[in-house]
This record gives sequence, structure tokens and C-alpha cells, in this order.
Amino acid sequence: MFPWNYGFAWDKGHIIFLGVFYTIVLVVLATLLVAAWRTLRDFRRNRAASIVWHENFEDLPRVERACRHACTGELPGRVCELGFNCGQCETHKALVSMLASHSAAPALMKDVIDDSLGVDLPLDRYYHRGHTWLKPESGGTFTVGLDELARRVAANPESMELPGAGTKLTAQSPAWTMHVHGAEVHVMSPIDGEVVETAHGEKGWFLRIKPAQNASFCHLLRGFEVVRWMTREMERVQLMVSESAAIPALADGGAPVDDFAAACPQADWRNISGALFLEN
Amino acid sequence: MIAHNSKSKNARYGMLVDIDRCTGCGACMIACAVENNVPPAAPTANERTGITPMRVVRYEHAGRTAFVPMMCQQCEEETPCVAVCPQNAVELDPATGIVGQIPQRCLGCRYCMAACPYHARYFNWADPAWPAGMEKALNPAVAPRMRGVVEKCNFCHGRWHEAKELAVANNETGPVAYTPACVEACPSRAITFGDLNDASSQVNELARQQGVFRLLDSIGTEPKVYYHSRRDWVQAAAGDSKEAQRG
Amino acid sequence: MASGTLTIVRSEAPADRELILRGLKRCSLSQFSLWVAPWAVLLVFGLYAAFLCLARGLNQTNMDNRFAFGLWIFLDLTVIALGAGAFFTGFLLYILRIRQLRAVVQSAVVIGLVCYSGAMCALAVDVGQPLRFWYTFWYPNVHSMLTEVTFCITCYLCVLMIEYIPQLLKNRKLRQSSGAMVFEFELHKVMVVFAGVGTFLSFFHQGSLGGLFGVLRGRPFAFRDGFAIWPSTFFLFVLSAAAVGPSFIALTTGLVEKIARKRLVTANVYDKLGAISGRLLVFYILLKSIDTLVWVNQTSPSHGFPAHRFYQWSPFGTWMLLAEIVPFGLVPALILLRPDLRAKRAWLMSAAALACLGVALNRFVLTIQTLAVPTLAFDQFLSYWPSWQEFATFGAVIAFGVLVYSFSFRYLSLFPQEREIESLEQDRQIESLESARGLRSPRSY
Repeated sequence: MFPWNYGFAWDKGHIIFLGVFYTIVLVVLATLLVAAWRTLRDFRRNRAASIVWHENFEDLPRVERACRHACTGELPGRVCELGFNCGQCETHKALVSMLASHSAAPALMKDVIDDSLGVDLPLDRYYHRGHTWLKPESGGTFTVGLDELARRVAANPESMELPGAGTKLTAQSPAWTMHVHGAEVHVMSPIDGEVVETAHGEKGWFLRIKPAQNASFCHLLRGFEVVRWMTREMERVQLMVSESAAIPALADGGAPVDDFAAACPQADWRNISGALFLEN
Repeated sequence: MIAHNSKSKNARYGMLVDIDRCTGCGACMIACAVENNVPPAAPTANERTGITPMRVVRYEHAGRTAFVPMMCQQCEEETPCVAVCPQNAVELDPATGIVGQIPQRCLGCRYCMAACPYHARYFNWADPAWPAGMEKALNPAVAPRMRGVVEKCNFCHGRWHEAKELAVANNETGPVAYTPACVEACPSRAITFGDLNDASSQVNELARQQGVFRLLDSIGTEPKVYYHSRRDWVQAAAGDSKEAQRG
Repeated sequence: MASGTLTIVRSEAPADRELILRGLKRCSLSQFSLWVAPWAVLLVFGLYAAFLCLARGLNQTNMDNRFAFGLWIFLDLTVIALGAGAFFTGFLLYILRIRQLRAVVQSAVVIGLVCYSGAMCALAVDVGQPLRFWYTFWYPNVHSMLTEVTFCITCYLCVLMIEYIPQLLKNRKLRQSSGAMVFEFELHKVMVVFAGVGTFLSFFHQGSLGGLFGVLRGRPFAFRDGFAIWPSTFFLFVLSAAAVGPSFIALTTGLVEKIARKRLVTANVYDKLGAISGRLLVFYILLKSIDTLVWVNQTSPSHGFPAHRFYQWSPFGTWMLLAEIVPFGLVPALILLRPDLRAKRAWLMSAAALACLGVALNRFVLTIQTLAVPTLAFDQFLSYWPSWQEFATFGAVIAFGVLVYSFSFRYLSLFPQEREIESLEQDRQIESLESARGLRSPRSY
């Protein structure tokens, strides 16, 4: 194996054979080291969070990666390939500019509360696919809360860990953690920003955020598309409840109860909350 | 290839086995086992798992019988077992022409056993064990082998060592003469042993007679063990043999 | 309000769902334990047999000085040939970019891993002095085919383990660590390097395994001429392994689908695997037939052995040669070449099974039959039947493979299409609900 071992000779056979062997070992080790070094580099350059999100996103089932324009019916069947990063999407930009030219682009609607689904859906705020809302407040800050569906699915969490003031948040990365139905759930931050204040939902919100300088709002849902999307999400939850509890659970026109899990304990709420908060 | 006329420094030890003289008594097998510290057969052993570096094979053909002493043929050309051993545990010693096995390096993969066309290699299927008292009969010049390694005839290399040491002590150079155990034990002197490189040696002379052949010549391993028989049905059994080349 | 039927499928979440990826339906833990239990018993029993061989020596087997290689070597060769699906699928996907195979490449890696690691474990018991394994690396004989095999298979096993790591890191529990996810991402980016190295290594060790017997001039039954230092069996082994790899992947995927009772891949994946296998098989049979003719007419007679002499020993008659080429070679090849037959699952699976058996027969011929046929005129034809310890040890290898695969299947996502097939169902159901509510018109996918 090595030149000082018995039987080694600097002949063609040894050179070729051991040469190839050592080359392969070196190539494999080098590649592993490169992957490890790149991993460290990703952490140093703060790219880890976005990589983790993209990896998780790829593993989500197709039905959860539906494009926002598929939910509204504009582009049925379309699946997002960009991790809900609508700011990078050419199709989204084209659609929005086309709608804008007809003054039909979705926008925040002050003082409008939609209740077609039996829950209050205020349309004066942005909604994130991870079921949080982002409401513009005075002073350039925004408050973040859980939307009605998320509140009902994750009603009465056992515990909650909110980030303190000054914490930097990244869009699509965990903002706070809740312990619900015995499982740990990470709620995603809707945008890049910094936490200014925390509350425990007494004021109706959990965090007050000051958005980062270049924070993008493109990926947030607003206006009429919120209703369409929420309809679809409620349908998904109903289907998941039916499946896991083996009972029909279709809406019959009544208003949703405040605590889904208490009303239907046989369903697999861990999986349903995972689906809602876009976790694998 | 038999003789070089040169007094080359290197020996090529070979044998001439006269099948017509072999009575099948098996004395060579016993002598070999004693010389080489072959352990008594384990309880699980049978004739296919026993260790017989020298093995006399009975060959019957059309009602007639011949006995063929088989041992390692010490192949010279692209020695199969040397070529295939993954650990270099087998080597053809250029000074003696003997194919030696290093038991301490043998992994026990048995590839050499698959490679050997003469089935001259034997595996230690069990731990060697000598009954109490029998260890006194062990030959101190030969190391016993452990379980799980291959062994074979090595032309009594221990005896060669002894002869070599004596020669070195007497400041003699050149190939040494010695006698393996089987040659010594044979009552009908069926086996002749010597240096094939030495044109004057008896083995060289005998190997040039009529009726000498090698086994499986057509495979091209160039064994250094020659067989002699005047019976043509025995000669036919050797396979499609080439005429042994004369010097 | 909304009319229309909805199929409700009861699915109770299994007790170990923390470890199972969301969206993957798995049977209950008790059902899984029922599946695992008999394999675990077989594994333990086989380990006991292996222990006997290690403690008391190889006299526990029925191998002897004539049959130096027995059941274990034969099965090792077969299992390694079948596990070639791992390297070949990786090569087809990452290097030739046949994208349909993404659906089975992870499963193929696991199968390759268990095949190779199982073969190594069997070898550890097979050699007389297992603790001396490192001698082959320390004192390598670069001219021996077995040295080449040892080096290559060891390197390849390492590569397979490296390819398995990203799958492990994506387990539901492990992926919670962001370090694991980022490392998995970076590793996946360079996966083509490992696929390439794996292909190179696999090519050489599959070939060298064939070369093991092709170089034995002392065994004219197996000896072949070839190209440079490589006998024809070198190339035939590579080709047969590449040909049967996709068939084995198709076979195992079908088996897993049956046992898990769910669809894991779309039909076009089976079709692709079958087509590739069929084409390579027919090419292999052609070359093998040529090689056989050359051996019968030239190689063997030139070494003093007319070929028919080897087939006079019953039960190893000429029927074995014909069986290897026709019913277990040409027939499955022709079946797999026909798209209409490939489309029928039963035909595809039967052809795949025949092809795999054909390769097993080929390995058998080169190990057991080669050692059984005598070379010397005064040699007899001897027969060999493995001992229970040999069967049990190999049973342990199979049990080990099944267990590793079962656990991988349950806790990892081996079939990326599995979730798509399920989420397609969910999508369809949502769509039908929405169309019933008049939100949009139904659309077929």
C-alpha cells in the first residue's frame, strides 16, 4: 500500500493501481470537505435560513405548494417553484402589472371584513401562506398575529416562546415556537425585520415588527385573493380532519367553532397543524 | 524446460515421480505429515477436508490401477496461485524455484485453491489440536499453521533451510542438496528430487527419458514435477501433454 | 350545501409518527412490528450460525478442499450483481439525465447499500482469518483480480454510505437541525461527483468479479481470453449487472408497493426501467453467445479440453448453458423490449424475475459448476450441498437487508413520487369540492 511496505515496487502495475485508488480516496474526501466547508460558509453568510426553507419547501406535498394564482383560479393547477418568493417570479409580476393596468390589482382594503366563511377575515392587512397576518400600524411598524384558521387549529397552546425585542427575523424562517397538541410548531415570520415589542395575543397580536430596509412584501396575500386562499385552506383542513377522524366533517353553513381540536379530538391535529404552518 | 547447462546460482528444484514404481503404500504421505507437523484429523474432517500436502491418488482405468503421488507441482510460468493471492502471501522464490506460502499472511480467502488446477492446496478447516503427548513428535524446524489458512507442499523448505545454514557455515555458495521427507520415505524410490538447473543431477537425467510427461501441460503452467510411466493409458491421463523439452 | 360524494379513507396516525414525515401514510407501529419480528428472528438465528463459524472454524460449513467456494461466494456474487442497480440508476439519472429515474434512485441507493454491506458481512465469515482483512490493503497484489475487487468494493461501500447520509438527514426528527439541512443541501449539490465515482468503481469491481474466474487458467471451464489483462468475463459481468440492475429495482419497487399497499411510482417509471433492462439484456445475450461460441470452438480446445467434456456430468449438462442463454436471458429480454408487454405489470415482473434468475444462474455456473467439474483425468465429479449454518448465515444477510430497507422506507422518504401521488388525490378532492361550490370548473390533470 505504501512504498515502505513489503512487496511494493515502482512498476507500472503498482503505480496505476495505487494511483487510481489514492485518486479516488482523495476525490471522495475532498468532495466531502468541500460540502462541509460550503455548509459552514452558508452559516457565516446567513444563507442557512433561506436554504433550510427551500429544502423544506421542496419536500412539501404539491397541494401545499399551490401558487397563489392557482388558489384564486387565475392559473389553475400551478405549483410554486420558488418557495413562495413571489418577488422573484416573472409570472407573478406580469399578472400583477396586467391587473394594475386595469386597476384591478389586489390591495389592502381598509375597514373591510369578509365573513363569507363564517369567520372574520379583515382585509386591511397582509396574509402570509403560513397563516400569520401582518397589519400596518403607526410609526412604520407592523403587528403580526395568527389568522382565524390558525387560531382555531392551534387553540390553547400549552406554551409559547416569543422572541424578545431586538431579535432579527427573516421571512419564511421561524419567528416563534408554540407547543400545540403535544408537538412543537414553528410559526413563520411574514417578512424580514426586527422585533420591537411582544404580546401574548391579549392585544390581538403577538409581535410588533419594524420591517428591514429592503424587506419585500410581494409574497404576501392581500385583498380578494385572501378569501379564495382561505376558502381553500379551510377545505384542506376539513379533508384532513375527515381522513384522520374517519367522520365526515364538511361545512354545513354554520360558523366554525373556536377550538377545532376540542370539538374533534380523534383527528390527527399534530399533522394538521404541521400542514397549516408549512412544516414537514 | 529442464536443463540449463550453466552452473547458475539459482536452483530449480524439481521431482521425477515414477508412477510405475509407486505401490500406493502411502509412506510418503505419512512422512510428509510428520515432517510438516500436520495435525491429526479434527472430528469433523473427512477425506475432502483433510490436509495431505502429499496425496497418493488412485487412478483406475478399464480395470487397471495406477497410483499417482500428487503434491504441489511448483508451477513456474505465471504460477496461478502466486498471481491470484490478494495479499502476496504466495511467492515463487527465484533462488530455489519453490512456491512458498506465508501462513501468517494468508487471509483464508481460498482463491488460490480455486486457481490451482492440481488441487494441491489444502485449507485448515479446523483449529489444529494434538492429543496430549503427541506434541513431543512435532518437528521443531517447521511452524504449525493456524486455523483458516491455506497450506501446501513446499518441497520441505525446512530441510532446505537446514542444508543452507550448514552450507553457509561451511562457506559454501551455490544451490544446496537436500532430500524432502517423501523422497526419503519411499520404499520403492519412486520419487527423485534434485536441482533441474544442474545438468548432472539425477532428476535432470531421469526427466529426459522416454515416457516422461507432466500433468495438464496444455494449460501452460510449466510445473516442475515430472511423471514417468511406460503405460500409455497412464500417459493419456496426463492430459494433452506437450513433449517435455530437452535442454 | 355542497353535494357530491367524497371517499373517506380511515387512516390512524401510527404511534411513532414523530419520526415519520408528515404526509406519508404508514401502517401502525404494531403492524410494523409484526412485519419486523420474523426477520429479526431470522437475523438472530443467522448471527448464531455465523458465530459458530467464527468460533469453531469453517468446518461448520460443507465446503471442502474441492469446493473452496460455496453458497456464500455464489450468493455474494449474485447479490452484488443485483445491487448494481444502485450505481447504474445513479449513472442513468445524474450523468445521462434520464429524469424518470429520480423516482427510484433513493430506493436504489438503499438496496445497493444493503446488498454490498450484506455481501461484506458474509465475506467476513467466509474467510478463514477475518481480522486479517487489512492485509489486502497493506500488502496488495496489484496483479490479482481479488485485490481489485476488495479495494473497489470497500471504496464503493463508502460512497454508498455517503449517498445514504442525505436521506437520513431528511428524517423528520433529524431535519429539525438546520445544520443537518444545510449540509444535506450542499452534499446534494455535489452528488454528481459521487455518482461518477460510484459508476467508475462499480464498473471495475463488477468486471473484476467476472475476471476472478476468467483468469483461472487452471480451470479451463471458466478461463476466457479477452482484451489486455481483462478476460471476456470481465465485460460480460459488467454488462449483465447493468442489464439486470434496473430489473431488480423494478422488482423490488413492485414488491414494496405490494407489501406497503400503496402506489409509490408512476407507471412510466416501470416502463423506463423495463426498457433499459431489455435493451441491455439483449445486447448482453448477444455478446454472451459470441463468447460461448469462441470458448467452445477455440479457447477451451486450445488448452486441451474439448468443451463437451465439461457437460458430461449430471446434473450439469448442456441444458444449463442453454437455460442461461434462452429462457433466463433471451426470453425476458424480448419481453422487456415490447412496450405492450412492459405495460402489463405481471409480464414486467415475470421478465424482471427471469432476468435476475439468469444472472444468478450465471454466477452459479462460474462458481459452483467451475469447481465441480474435474480437470485432472483421475479427478472425480464431486457434489456439494451447503450446511444449515451456511443457509442460516445467508438468511441473516437477507434479513439484515429487509430490516434496513423496512426501517428506511418507514422513516425516510425513499419514493419522492409517493407524496405526489397522494397529494394529487387530495388536490382532486379539493378541486371537486370547489367546482361544486362553483368556484371553478373541473379540470383534469
